[in-house]
Amino acid sequence: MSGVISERRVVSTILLVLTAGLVLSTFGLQFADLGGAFSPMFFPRIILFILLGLAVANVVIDGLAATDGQPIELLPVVIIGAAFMGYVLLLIPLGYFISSTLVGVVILVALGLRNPVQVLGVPLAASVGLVALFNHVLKMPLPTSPFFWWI
Amino acid sequence: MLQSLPEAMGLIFTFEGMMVLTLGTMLGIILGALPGIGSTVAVAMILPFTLTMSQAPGILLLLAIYAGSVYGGSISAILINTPGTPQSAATCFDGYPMAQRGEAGKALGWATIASVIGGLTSAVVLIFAAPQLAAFALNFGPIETFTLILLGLTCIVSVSEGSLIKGLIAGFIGLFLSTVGGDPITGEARFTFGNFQLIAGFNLLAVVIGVFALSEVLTRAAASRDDAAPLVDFNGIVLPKLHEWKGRVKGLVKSVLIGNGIGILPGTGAATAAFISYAEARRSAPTRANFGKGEPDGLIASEAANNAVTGGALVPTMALGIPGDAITAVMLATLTLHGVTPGIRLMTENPVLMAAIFSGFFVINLMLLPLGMLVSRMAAPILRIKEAYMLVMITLLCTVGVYFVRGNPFDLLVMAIAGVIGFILRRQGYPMAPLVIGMVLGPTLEISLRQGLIITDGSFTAFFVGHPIAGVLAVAAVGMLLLPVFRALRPAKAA
Amino acid sequence: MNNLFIATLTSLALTLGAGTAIAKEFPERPINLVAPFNAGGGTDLLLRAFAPHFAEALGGDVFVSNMAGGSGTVAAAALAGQKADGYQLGYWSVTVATIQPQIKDIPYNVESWTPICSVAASPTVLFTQADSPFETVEDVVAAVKAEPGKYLYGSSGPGAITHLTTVAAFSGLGIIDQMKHLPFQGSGPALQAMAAGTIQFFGDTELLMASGDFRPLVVFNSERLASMPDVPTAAEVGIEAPLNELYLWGGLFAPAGVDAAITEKLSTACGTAINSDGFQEFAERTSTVLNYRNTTDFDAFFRAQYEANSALIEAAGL
Repeated sequence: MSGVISERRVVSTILLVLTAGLVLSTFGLQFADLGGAFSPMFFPRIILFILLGLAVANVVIDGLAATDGQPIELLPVVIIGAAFMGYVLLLIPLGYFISSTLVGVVILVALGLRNPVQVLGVPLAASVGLVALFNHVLKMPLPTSPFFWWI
Repeated sequence: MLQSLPEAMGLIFTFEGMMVLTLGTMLGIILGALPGIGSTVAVAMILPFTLTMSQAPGILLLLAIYAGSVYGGSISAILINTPGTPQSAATCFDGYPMAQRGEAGKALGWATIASVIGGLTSAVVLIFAAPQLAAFALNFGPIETFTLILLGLTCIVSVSEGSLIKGLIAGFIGLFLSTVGGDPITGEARFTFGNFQLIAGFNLLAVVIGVFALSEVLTRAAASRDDAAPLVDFNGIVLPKLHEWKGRVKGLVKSVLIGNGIGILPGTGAATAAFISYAEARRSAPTRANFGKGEPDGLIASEAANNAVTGGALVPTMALGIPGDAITAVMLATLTLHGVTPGIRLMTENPVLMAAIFSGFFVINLMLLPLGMLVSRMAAPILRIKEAYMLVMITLLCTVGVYFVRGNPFDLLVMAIAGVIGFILRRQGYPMAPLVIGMVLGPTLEISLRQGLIITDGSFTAFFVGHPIAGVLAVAAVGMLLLPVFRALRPAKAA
Repeated sequence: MNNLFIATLTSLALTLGAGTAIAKEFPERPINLVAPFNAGGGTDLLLRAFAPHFAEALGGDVFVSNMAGGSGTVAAAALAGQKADGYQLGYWSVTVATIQPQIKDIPYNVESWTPICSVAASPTVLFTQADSPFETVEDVVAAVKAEPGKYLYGSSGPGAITHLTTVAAFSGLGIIDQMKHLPFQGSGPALQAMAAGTIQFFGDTELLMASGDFRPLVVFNSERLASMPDVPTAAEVGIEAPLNELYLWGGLFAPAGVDAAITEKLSTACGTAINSDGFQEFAERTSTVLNYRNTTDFDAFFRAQYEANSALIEAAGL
């Protein structure tokens, strides 16, 4: 990345915009006007105004400072980040066992492992162990799948 | 209390009693050391088993799990930068850099000794002065609590390595996150933007696990890898030698006092104590320049304080029947189940049971040292597995831990999002510890401030009239904030 | 492990064989009791003590799970959207079932449930510090009227039963506008504040009151309690209906639309479990006041409570 736009400046600008949006939202909401400490917006407003000031200063500092990019292996990060989101969204519909095995496989493949025994075996063993322990030994069930109630 | 001790010993030093204490402590350490599984989940896992046991062993088992998991949390904090509980967050500051330097065994050695000393002293305090301390704690009304929390917040300044402004931003983001959900005074929903799930707010542990553990998984994925290298170089605990303690004892004593003091106050807890203790050590320790880069003094401050709280938190629980934190609340409920009414008459009506609990707590802390060494020796080979496998295990355990905190699938989503955002922010130099500090202290800061204003009819200046403790704490907070400025100016003058 | 395997095989066979006669075969897999609070709380412990007796009465497996947050509403909202097959039951208290849906924008209401049975109901008590100058309710009214704005009443949070007890008392006595409400995060900090003199009044069940040195002022029950015969009922001190009776009750609920035969089976099993020696003994030890109502009675009671509590909510200004 070069020129005016850098990763760091984008992040600090997003933070500023979000904070400004939240500050504005505290004025649009409908609350019983009890005033002072009774108002639900009393404390958040103090926090958000300070945060707004800090965010402005932050944008200025990042704008002035020269930026140096850090090296990053983008592909595995994007895959694993997306896998996290998919994992937590599928955990309830598919149950802990299936979704955990899937996310484990995805992480291992994203990290460059190719041996099918390792890629499948490790996540499978880990999920089986955890499900057996929690669902059947401790009787604290993790989310179960729609197919079989015991996993 | 003291005259009941011999009879209490009879309850503890039986085969059953010792089995419960040993196995409970060991299990607690193992559970606490698993990334993602904290004290709350550990206690919840064990609770059903205690229901079938008799009074004293049941309570002792819970205590052993509690104290063991608080200590165990520091193992994963040091070795893989993943605190199992918010109270171990301060342990990461110096513990993880030491582990990265290849001194993981030494870091755990310092942490273990500090934990044991913190725990033991708090047990002694508990045995001898619980009623008196509980009476003192009554002096802490909303106004005093507010100023104490302010003092705790100043610690954000001292943990903002690199960029002060980015640290403050992270801290205030944390404070803001703590306000999302039901308003503690009126009950109205804030910042939920129509999402029902947000009425309950962001779960602290889900955010902590996300920004520390999951973002660590992403950070490691982002770095270029060498498949042969294990995650950490660790072969078991290396205890510090006696001469290495030179100059560190004063800090240890101070941290123990801070931990005990904060533990007895209502509604503050171990995380607050660890943060305040760390900030104080960073202000006063001779080695303060090395803090955040792997300085044993920082580890000592955090670990001695958070373990000293475990005993302190039992003071209001046992002396007044008022739980000091979520875990002691579970213990009180268990007592009720066994037909013991918690409350101010607990000590007078059940002196033997209380003495057994307190002295059992002492024994548990004694056992932390050998059992901690044993568990970490057993854990060492596990840590040598391939990094990729480790990252999978961390991910799976984090979901288990967060799911069982309150069984809410929404918390898992919060964890994943916190992980991704935490990764992005960490890359850009925003430290995550202040965010956690803000989220931990935010709710108490808000409710104590607003309660104070309700009591004084909206006058903030009335906070400092007739509240000497509050005044002292407020001055200390301002001092902590201005100190870095003074320090920066002094060498400039000299030069 | 072998047993587990056989058990799963058997239940798999049962699942496949299940056809029309649902109620007869019910339950063919474990039943989940949801506690809407964290493990180790009063509700959780009650459910964990109840579960084995309930399982025995049903002839099946029963386990307890916890889903906490939002004063219990998170669990209730989650359960309201589940399949109404009778395998998921929630233990809701008066606040979760009747108060929260009327003060918050949450995705369930009075029509979302099949009430199964009520389990417990304890009357609430208004109390003050034992060394306070207030001996009777008349003392309180006189003191508050003499110095409006001076006295504070506490609660464990807005909309909690502790809040409603104080509101029922002071609104019923007509002095609520001359007092201030100070909410805390849970009963523990509030009781500590009472011991320190920050607040003067608090309301909760008899069990909680017994934990400290407190003086009861008025009982929100239809008659005086045997354990404190000198304490007047709310009606006696002039608090009018519907504010004069307030109970912390709890019972089992399933999502609306459960098959009537299954509901009946669950309700009967619940009654058997409550009357079992083991559970009665538990109630004795923990001073829990048991109160069984079958599905029909509980349905009527639940709807009546839903209506009655809207008056309280209005008085509380929630």
